Amino acid sequence: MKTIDTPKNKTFKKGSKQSNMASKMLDNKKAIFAHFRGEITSEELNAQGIKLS
Amino acid sequence: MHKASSSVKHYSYTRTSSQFATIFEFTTDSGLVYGVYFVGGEKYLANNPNYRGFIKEFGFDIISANHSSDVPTRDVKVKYTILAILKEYVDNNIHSSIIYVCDYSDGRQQKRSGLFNRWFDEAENSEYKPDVPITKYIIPVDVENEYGETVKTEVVLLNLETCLFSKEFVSYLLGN
Repeated sequence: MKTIDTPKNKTFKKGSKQSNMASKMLDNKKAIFAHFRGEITSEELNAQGIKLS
Repeated sequence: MHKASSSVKHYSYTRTSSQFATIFEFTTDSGLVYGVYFVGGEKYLANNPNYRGFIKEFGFDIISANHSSDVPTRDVKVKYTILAILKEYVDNNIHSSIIYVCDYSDGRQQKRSGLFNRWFDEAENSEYKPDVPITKYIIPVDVENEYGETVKTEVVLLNLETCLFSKEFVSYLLGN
């Protein structure tokens, strides 16, 4: 696997689409695992724009 | 549901697929239950409907921890199982690139990033190397944690050369 590191001095700042993407991805991960643990329903997951089945 | 064959190196796992997602689960010798998911990721790329099916969001974590307190915390079979799942998924979805974020909710994102990157590097010379060429892009970002502090983490794009939109994904994720 070829790896390409974006230079550290090119860190995308808060408010950038990349930063917003990271935040949203983490929120989605938390929601998906809350669903796996039975803490939220499929409907609640769907309401967050996440479809599993 | 598919039951994968077990091997010495990794745990056996189950796979559940729908038109929206593929979910894997496995249980470690110490009783930890892990979940691994691949779900549609086009929503992160300007919600472009043309990208549907070509970009997947990946993540994994512990679902439950019904284990005794004297079990070792390091379990190399977890690494091999994640790599086995990634290989199986990539080999069966050669047109889908993959994105994930290094979880920063506990402040350990840099360690997580280093560990996961090492796993990938090790996979290169092992039975867990995917069959298709992949370029891994590591994209550093500033994010706000739950305490309102700015911290650094990384978004990672595993870009499959066999993905129709691989160039577009790179352009979008590295562009302003």
